[in-house]
Amino acid sequence: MTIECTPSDTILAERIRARDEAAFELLYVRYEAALTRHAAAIVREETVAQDLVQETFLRVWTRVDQWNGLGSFKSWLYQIATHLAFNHLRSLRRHPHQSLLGEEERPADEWSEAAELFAPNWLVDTTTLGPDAAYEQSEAQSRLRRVIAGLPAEKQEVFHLVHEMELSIRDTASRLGIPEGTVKSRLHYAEKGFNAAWQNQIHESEE
Amino acid sequence: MTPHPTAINFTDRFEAPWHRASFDRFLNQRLPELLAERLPLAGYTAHQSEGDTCHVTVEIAINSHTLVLDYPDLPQPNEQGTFRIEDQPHIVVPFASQEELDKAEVKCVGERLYDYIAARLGKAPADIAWDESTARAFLPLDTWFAQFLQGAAQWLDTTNWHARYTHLRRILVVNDFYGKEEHEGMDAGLSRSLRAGSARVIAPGQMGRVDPFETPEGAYIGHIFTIAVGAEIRDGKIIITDARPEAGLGQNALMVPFLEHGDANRLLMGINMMRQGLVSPTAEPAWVQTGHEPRDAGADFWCGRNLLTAFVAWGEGCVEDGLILSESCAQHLNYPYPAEPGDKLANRHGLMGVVSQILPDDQMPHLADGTPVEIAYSFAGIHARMSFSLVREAVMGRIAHAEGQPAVVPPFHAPSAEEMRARLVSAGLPETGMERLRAGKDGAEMPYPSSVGWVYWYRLAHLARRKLQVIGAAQTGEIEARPYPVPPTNEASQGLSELEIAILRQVGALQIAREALTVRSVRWQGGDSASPYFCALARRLTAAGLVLDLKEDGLSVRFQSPEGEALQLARPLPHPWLREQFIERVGPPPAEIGPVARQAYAALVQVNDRLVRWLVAQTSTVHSTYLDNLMAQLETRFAAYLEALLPPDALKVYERQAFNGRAVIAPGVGLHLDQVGLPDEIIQGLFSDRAAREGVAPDDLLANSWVIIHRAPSAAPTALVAFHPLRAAGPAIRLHPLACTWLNADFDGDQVSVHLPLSQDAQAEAGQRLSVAGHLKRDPALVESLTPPLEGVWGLAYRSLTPEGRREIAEILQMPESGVAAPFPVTGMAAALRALLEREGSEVAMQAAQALAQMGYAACRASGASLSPFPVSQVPLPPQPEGDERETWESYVETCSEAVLSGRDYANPNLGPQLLAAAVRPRSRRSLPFLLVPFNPMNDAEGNLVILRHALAEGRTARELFTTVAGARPGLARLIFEYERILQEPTAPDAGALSLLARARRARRPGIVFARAAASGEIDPLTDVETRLLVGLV
Repeated sequence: MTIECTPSDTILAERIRARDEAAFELLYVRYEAALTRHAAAIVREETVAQDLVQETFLRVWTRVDQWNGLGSFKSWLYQIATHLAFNHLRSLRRHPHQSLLGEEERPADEWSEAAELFAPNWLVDTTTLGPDAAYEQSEAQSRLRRVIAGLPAEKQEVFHLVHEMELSIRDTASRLGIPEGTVKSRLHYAEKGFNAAWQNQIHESEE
Repeated sequence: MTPHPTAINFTDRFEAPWHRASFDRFLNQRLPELLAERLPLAGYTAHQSEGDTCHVTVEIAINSHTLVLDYPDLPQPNEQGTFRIEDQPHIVVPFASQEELDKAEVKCVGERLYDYIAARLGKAPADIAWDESTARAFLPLDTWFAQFLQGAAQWLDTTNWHARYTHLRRILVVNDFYGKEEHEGMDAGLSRSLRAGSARVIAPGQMGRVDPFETPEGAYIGHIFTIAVGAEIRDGKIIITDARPEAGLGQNALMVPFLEHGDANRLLMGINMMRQGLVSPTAEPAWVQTGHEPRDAGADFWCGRNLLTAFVAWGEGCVEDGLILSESCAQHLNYPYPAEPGDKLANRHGLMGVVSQILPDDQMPHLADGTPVEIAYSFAGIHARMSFSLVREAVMGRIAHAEGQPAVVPPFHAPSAEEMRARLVSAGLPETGMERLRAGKDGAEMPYPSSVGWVYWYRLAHLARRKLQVIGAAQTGEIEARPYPVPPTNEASQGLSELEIAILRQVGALQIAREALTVRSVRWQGGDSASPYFCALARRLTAAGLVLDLKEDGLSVRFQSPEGEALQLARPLPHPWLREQFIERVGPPPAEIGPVARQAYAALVQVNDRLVRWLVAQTSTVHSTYLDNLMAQLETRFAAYLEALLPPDALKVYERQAFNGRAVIAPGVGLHLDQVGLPDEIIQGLFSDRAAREGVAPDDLLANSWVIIHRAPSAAPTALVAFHPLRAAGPAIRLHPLACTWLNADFDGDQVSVHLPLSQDAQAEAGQRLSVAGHLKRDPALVESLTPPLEGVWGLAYRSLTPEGRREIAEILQMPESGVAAPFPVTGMAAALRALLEREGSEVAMQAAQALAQMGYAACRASGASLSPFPVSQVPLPPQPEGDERETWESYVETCSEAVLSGRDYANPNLGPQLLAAAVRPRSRRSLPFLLVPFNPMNDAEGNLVILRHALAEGRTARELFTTVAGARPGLARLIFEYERILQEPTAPDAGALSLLARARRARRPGIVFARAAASGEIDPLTDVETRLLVGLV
């Protein structure tokens, strides 16, 4: 007699890595409630905890590759939730108007400040922003889209792929069929042009 | 006099040690306990400085070592219990869990701060990689302290000693604070308990613990208290430390002399007003004290002056609580500048009034020895307000003045009438406490003797000059730029709301209403064709995907995806206002609307972004609970946003107005009934613009202009009355006393706003519809309320006792002399005015009403009539019954009341003036017996029947006084709640109207009305008057 065993977390992780949405479903059903309690114990607000858990599962799906397979998958899950919960607590300490992106989150590479501000969502992590900041960010993003629309076509494409589609430079290069160096230089010029255009937008919006 | 047994052991220190004790326990005991529960605590120290901060160090265990978190400057209360925030003293008021204060659990600052932190501090998971940043994010003690104080600390009321002291000993009943988030604060907790009807305004457990009088005269009645001097908060309970009756009073009540001769409601007002006394370097101690005054309270304890006060109605300026001061008196009350008309004076008994006139000393009443009186305060209101204690204070002040040292009158140990008479005699003063005054330095002796003596009066901190506001052309500096200059939106502008618009519509003043909703609105943009109200509504609907189309012949609405900055929804959603309609984009909230909608929008954006990212990362269509949850959340947040975008209140009218002003009112002496006196600043603000354009002086415009006086709440059409403006000295608006009833105003500090209609049409409308004549034309019955104030009625009654007087009255009213009864009742005057109006028209009736009032004031002024400090019934009263039967006592009270009121010797200074008032005016008739007859038996706070054996003139025992407080408070609370309810009651001015806007304005979900109108293609033909006004169509 064979019994359809409930798959272990590790098996689920492997399947999720293979883009198996049924496995994700199972994982979600298995841990959603417990993770919500876990997050709520840290942030002490039920609705925030629910948001954090949704974000946790989104990251599980989009970044399952980052799980190194060493520790238990469950503890990785909890770590993400804990991490997001602490990010949230940090954001509460900051004045929401002072910075859209906390210092802890600021990428340490050579990206320009304006590009940083409008880094992809997974970097900005809107769950860590207060409502006002999230609102400002949504406004800023729509301004951003107008700025990008004013860039030359090929720069727009690179900027779009890297900044909005969250692709790495390598993926961008392969997707566009151009060398990585070209991606970097286009990105550089895109950002330069972007900065100038962005500054204009800022001034307009302040007037 | 009875020597006071023992003064309350009251020192000059701030006796509210519970604030600091509670904080110290929190800091040294409860906080470390909480920390140990929630995180791996390895060490904790708290060091309290001498000053305003403490230093806390928290050590967290991390494997083999510890992480030290330092919080060097956490705020702490000083020994008095106050925090210093931005260099201002602040206090955190303790909460009590229920009205039964003997059972209530009390949370002071330490317990409240503990709750605040316990609700926010998480439980640290075991595997946290602690570092400084993580630990500070987890335990932001400094932020929490600051945020807690931001929400919970109140700016300490430092108006004067009484204010400060009371604030330190205040306690707030929040019925259900348990299980509720601290940050909801007192308003939320309180409004919840008021809504739930769980509010009890008095309870037995309050006796001895909190002052029975001191509670707000507003919605917080029965919820905010002052800890009695014989009680304190200890270990979360209010305990009684001194059970004597006087120790059950608060410090402010302890300082009311002759407390047992006063009325509970008035004492409540008097005690509340003590906190508002203006501190003055020229203040002096009272000549009549209670012996409980703190010996070393500091410079701001005494706020007032002993002023020679005659209880006489000294002419038109002395009506409806108006006060007349001598010039010397105004010079005594000289800080920060001499008293001026509109300034409010109060005494310890709860009677108050605004200064109406400042007369040369020579024109004031004079004592027999030639001393001019300093304040004239009408006798007429005292027995109606049952503030008999005031008259006793005056007489005792006179005794003290003659004896050369302050008199001490402790609560419940006041000297009897016999004792006071004896002391008057031995001081060489008239035994009656009254004397015949001269009507001015060279005037004749007046027929009635008057009560006169020294009363301790103080100026209230609400100086008239500081209340004066005006917003008009002069504030904008844009006279050239626009036809109607738009002033900046600011607090000075007065608003017009639904109620006033409804009145304007009701009386047919449509041009005025239209101006109020368009060109006089501070939101008006010169070029708009639609009203600011309509534009703001359209902006909200646009964000929700609905566009309003306003054309001359119709108003319609259609679905249209918002353009510009809008949120692209991850998936089209059914519109919450019309499920069949799907919507793909939603707009951000218009900039002018509040944080609720902004936060709801941000929450929507957040979940929408997450959904976008999920959908991008998805490849298959396998069922996903995760996706279902996200979608459900998106829909919920979408609906919540739309609800926040268009709540029913968004359709309520409230337009802040330009071309208006506001000030305290004072009686206008010598005005015509269609005139109002305005301060220079208001004249300048309202008229300088037009004067500049027409090249004339502002005063040249006044005679032919109308201004509208508005007094809130607008319960009747006469809340708006138009007058011709005159320039009047001083910072008060001078209102004709006959207009008081219409505007529901009196002169005890009431304020009104004044509006200038701009166009010729609106000016004409003001004259035709809102002037006194205009109101009379619409509603002739209103003439009956143009009978004089009490002083005038009394004067006419007095004159009607003689044939000459009756002849004169009959001439004024154009009626046969035989129709004037002796004495002539107010109902007779009203009927005669009504008949005159119907016969001769409004102009004649108005002239008659004024002439009648002038005759009454003059007669009252010349009479010297007053209230005796030692009144006795003119008809002997039966002896008091034996036993404690309710029915027996009720019969006794009734019998005695009739006996007192059967007195007819009006010329007798003993009660004669009061009997005359009672004979002509029903309200005076009701209140007079209380001076001499006990109240009906009442239940005390515990529900026990208490026989009230003593009348006001005799003075009540502590038990009797506390019982009357218990009896009075629920009635007062009912009045207050009823008033609040009327103010908050949603007004559907045109309940029957079927127009689109009218339906939406009545709806709980107005968005649904608009959405369905869009789906059905409804076109509102704009025939409804209200709709046309609201959208700004002519």
